[in-house]
Amino acid sequence: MTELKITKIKTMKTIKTNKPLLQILLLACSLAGLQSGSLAQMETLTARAPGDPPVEYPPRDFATAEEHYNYLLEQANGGTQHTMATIPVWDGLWSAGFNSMPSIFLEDGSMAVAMSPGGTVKEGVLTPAYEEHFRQRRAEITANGEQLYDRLTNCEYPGVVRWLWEPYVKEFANTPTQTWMLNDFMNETRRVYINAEHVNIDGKHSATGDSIGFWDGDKLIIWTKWVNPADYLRGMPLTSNQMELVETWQQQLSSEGVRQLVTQVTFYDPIGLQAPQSAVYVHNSSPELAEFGARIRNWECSSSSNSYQDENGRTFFYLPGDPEYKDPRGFTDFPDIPGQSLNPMNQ
Amino acid sequence: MKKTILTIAAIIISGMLATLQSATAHHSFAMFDVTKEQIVIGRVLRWAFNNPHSWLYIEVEDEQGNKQTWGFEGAAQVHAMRQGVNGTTFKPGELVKVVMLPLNSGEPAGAVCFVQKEDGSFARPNDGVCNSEARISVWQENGWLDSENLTVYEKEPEFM
Repeated sequence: MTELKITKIKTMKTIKTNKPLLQILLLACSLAGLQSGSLAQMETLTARAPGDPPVEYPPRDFATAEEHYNYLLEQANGGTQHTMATIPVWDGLWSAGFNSMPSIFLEDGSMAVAMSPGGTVKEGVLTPAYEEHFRQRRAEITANGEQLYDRLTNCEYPGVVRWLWEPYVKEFANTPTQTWMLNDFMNETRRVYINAEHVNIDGKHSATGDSIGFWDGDKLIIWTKWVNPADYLRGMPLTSNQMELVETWQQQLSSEGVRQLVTQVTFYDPIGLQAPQSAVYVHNSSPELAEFGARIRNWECSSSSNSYQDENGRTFFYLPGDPEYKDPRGFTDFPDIPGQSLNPMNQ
Repeated sequence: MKKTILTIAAIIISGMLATLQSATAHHSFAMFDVTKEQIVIGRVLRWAFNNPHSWLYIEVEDEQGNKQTWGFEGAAQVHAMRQGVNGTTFKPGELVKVVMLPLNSGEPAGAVCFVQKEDGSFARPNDGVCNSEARISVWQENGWLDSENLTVYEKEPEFM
């Protein structure tokens, strides 16, 4: 096949203005709210806004997640025994909103700072090995504009810590005995076993770990352990295989009357952190997604993703014609049998 | 002047979002040449509205009749839906103009920024590497959508 040649290379014209750059930046920032297609994602990346909830720190220092969880359970007198008639309903589709996690690890840390080159690593928060790795990761972002490779490239599960912010679609289903937290991203569903003990008959860790919880009125308290090592987020530090979390979930109304799920989290990671750290995460009710017709479908990563890590440690693609290429809609084990196409809608 | 400022503001926003939204994708965008945009004209072979990324494949024919398949990566389903795109947006055989950020390797693929359909309408299946709303305005304003197939525009430093 003959290679098609680029016919022309042109230079974009320079647009000049006599207005100060600061004025333009301010205008740009105000216009950011009008970028409807990107608004939802932009919201999640901004610094704390006046209405965003503050971090609620544990009532006192706890050495372990178990100690913290048991203290809260005792304070709640063993927890509220909900029925299907009384249990909080968190229906509808939800999107990730504000979170304070980057401020744990970066000076003046917001999501915008975390995702951009630069940022000053806070000293003494992470253990030496984890801090050194984080500095290297930030240096890579500064040098290249972004982290060159991310574990998701190979369809690895992001894990429970990263689950707390991933900006796709989530659903929540509460019952008296279990809470299901469904993320369309990588089909990661967290199951929280209410008034139960931790169980690990598998004898291993997993992406979402093992979660138990109890209700304190309309608050759901969760203790999660046995979580695979992963990342707080792309561009943020690693978490170790000893990470445990205590979360408190509660539905609230924002100052604008928007339904929010506010999650207060304390991370206990004796290998990665010098001391437990706390953050707040917000999910916003997103009825507009239902209006678009959005429904959570199966995430097809391993069968349709053609991205991989190349020999230089960078993300790249297999393309049509490469032996490793996976046709994201054309694959079938049985090409000679009718009705085996994965794309009956428009093929 | 007001129009010029708005254009610059949109471009700055584009840069901000391109940087910030890289976190929301399934992988980094390091394989794309973000200093360039290229127009690719052809007929749709396959529209794969998939997670973790959607892909649009088109067949491009040169003046000698040589055909080549080009592929363009777009956003995950929910992000594309927020931009008005779904699994029925593109039909096999329809003629499209794709404006995209090419691969650094020079292979026939890239990150889709936006697509102009034969009736002149626009579709925005792009991921965070491009702010398609702002870029559509810039391309329209400069008349670049009438460019010859495979024309590449280099961005000036202030656009990156």
